[in-house]
Amino acid sequence: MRNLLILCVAVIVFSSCEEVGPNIIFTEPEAPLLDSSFVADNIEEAQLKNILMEEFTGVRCPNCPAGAELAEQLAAANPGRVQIVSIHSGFFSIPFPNEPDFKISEGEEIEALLGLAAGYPSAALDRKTHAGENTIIVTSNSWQSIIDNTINTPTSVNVNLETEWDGDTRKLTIRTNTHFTAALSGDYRLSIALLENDIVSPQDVDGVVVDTYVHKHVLRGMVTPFNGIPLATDPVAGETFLKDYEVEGVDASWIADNLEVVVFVNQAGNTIEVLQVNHASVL
Amino acid sequence: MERIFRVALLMLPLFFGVQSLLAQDSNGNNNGGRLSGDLNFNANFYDRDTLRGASGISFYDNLKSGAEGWLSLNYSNWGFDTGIRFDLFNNSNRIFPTRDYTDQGIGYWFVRKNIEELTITGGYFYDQIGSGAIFRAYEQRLLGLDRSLFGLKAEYNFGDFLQLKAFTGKQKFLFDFNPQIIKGASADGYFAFEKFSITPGVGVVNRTLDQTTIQALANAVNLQDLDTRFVPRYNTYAFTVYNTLTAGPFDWFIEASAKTNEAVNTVGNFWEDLGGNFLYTTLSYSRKGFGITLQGKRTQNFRFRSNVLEQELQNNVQINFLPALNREHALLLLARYNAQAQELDEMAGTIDIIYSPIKSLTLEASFSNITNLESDSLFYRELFFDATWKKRKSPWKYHAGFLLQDFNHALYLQKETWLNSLIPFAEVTYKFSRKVSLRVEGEYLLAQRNTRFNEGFDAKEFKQDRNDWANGLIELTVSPHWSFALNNLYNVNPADTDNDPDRNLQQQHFYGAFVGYTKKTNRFSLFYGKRTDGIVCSGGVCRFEPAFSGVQFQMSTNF
Repeated sequence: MRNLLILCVAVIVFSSCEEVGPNIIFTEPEAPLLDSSFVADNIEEAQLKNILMEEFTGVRCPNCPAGAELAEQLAAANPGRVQIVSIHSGFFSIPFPNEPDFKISEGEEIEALLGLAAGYPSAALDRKTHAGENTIIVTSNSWQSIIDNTINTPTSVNVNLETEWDGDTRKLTIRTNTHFTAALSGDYRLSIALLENDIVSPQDVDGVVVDTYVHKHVLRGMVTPFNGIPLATDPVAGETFLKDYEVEGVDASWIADNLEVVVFVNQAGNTIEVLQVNHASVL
Repeated sequence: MERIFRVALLMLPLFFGVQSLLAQDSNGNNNGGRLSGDLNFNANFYDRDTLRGASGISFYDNLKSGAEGWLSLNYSNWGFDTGIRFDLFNNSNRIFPTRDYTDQGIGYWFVRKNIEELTITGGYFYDQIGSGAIFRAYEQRLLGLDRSLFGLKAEYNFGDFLQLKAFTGKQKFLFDFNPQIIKGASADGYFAFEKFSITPGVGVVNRTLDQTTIQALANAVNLQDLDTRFVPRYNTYAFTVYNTLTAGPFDWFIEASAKTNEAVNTVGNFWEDLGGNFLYTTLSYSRKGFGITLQGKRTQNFRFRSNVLEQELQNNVQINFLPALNREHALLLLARYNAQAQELDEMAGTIDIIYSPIKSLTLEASFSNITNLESDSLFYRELFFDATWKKRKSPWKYHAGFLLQDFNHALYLQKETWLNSLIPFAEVTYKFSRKVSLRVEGEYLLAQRNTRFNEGFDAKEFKQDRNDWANGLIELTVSPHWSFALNNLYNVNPADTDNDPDRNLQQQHFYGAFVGYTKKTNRFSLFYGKRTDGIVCSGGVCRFEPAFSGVQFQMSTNF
């Protein structure tokens, strides 16, 4: 009897030992081309705070086009202040046969980082659990009120960037300048994302697959790891970081005219709130 | 009372669908059954006292009173055992010693049924495997702990020599549950031979982390330096093997346990993927007038918790229980500096000897030594000696002794570095009659033992926590109903702690008066006075509690 029991326990235990764990990054992030920092004597005037809107979507999600349209309207109502990033992830993003796959591993990892969406369309606004919400990722009903309530939040970090494009080698150079306008405590991280606009590709719209649907702000890749790179710890006012990246051999199928670079700074630790986001076109 | 219970009982089938209970009840087949229960109730009335540190928290500044109570009812009938407990916390300090907590509701219920050799339990249950090294679900109200499991349990007895047990559930957390799933099984045997008997056992416990916890761990790990990253596991398994050997005057218990890797928060927000092991043994020998007990414990990364992210109530989320080997003292100053069992790194040994050379005299000595695993860092050391003298038919009883203590203050309380004390104590009890007795007790905690004997004492220059304390108590007992006590704890020479400006340097008295009344199973007590802040422990699980000033009322009963 005892042997039988031990055998049973052993079978149960060892048969369930293999697990697929969460995504952990084991590779060193690519070193920036330029990596320097200094404390500026002149503290810049604080920028207006922009909102990062990470919208979770998929080509098989019938309600997502309506969500995308709402996001565009909200961005248009606050010109230049709402940065949309469309992340195709989850089972709604399984591509149609012989059609492009917009799903990338970094997108899935970002969704897991933010706490998995309960339903699509949904979005994370500044990676923060807003008042009255229980989760970071919220459905479209909440977007407008959150944007209205947070659009005038001040920020203590200015984010600026420039891009350079070499059409022959398809090399993209990104120069970032992050400047803290006030002293902060805690750890801060910098993320750089590459988006493509105006991709014409099939999308389920209210149950009908529209072949000529125009996808906007599609997350094509992360230049940094999905959760960013360490930027600053307990920064002082005026502390400035210059980090330049070079991306060689950008995918030939991506249209340079439609590429967009998004840079943002977020807290690291128990809260991962985004402090500031900015963007630049590649061309 | 029975009517109240009927209402509660009617609720149970709703959870469990045991319709037959109702049917039998309405048919009048009720044979009366057996009802039992108990009530524990405490009320605190807070009297703000800035001088003694009883201020700055809600109880003293705003709320002024608080209470907690537990009313249990158990009922057995129709072959079923059921129980339900109402828990009440009204501005209570029991859960969080420094802030108020209010909630009320059903804190515990269960249904249990024996079917031949099988016993099934549903609802909340308390249980343990072996000494508790891999699993112990228990309640300790003094520390605000209720670590019951909410789930299902089945036990099967093969005669009286083997019991198998399996269970699964979630750990209770206040009036909610920790989301991690816990499963376990054990086999316990009993075999008696001509000259000895053994009670061997084996057990296994599995804890599966939930998605939210795993993702939080992954987020934290992804922020660590590359060479320290690892993939956090959902499942952790803990195994244990144990045995008690009883042979004549000898009693030997040994338990060896191991745990598979899991993410362990070692320092700050730094996580490591660690497996662990735990070894615990107790050997005792006793014959008339003499007894000796040896205990040893080795702990390596044996933290096992349901909610690995919980920061504030860490004692409330442990799945296992690691015993403390140092003596648990009853007298106030002897118990003031208490060593909490360490979960990650501890090596502990204790020897305890009791000897009665003549009938009226009992001598006891014990020595404990607790270090890290490499034995190069002392955590705690104590040498205890006491003698009790009581002549038959004499109304006098004398008890005196001392405790030498080295307490690693930095480790246990993140305070200054050390406390080296010598605590002599004496107790005298005089019996006026069969019913009336008087007990007088005195203790003195002498801090800075080493510097004092070697270099001379200077409260200002050498400071150890709050330096010396004296305590006196006088207690009158009038059996079987009444008990009265007065005590005063005096901080003789408070240290000049210039790095802690909030601390009062005045010599302080913490006095109190107590009266207790007992009639059969009803017990009432009232305390008025002041108590200093300190560590409160029970079986190696400890917590820091702030100073108390005010009135405490307690009542308990069972029926």
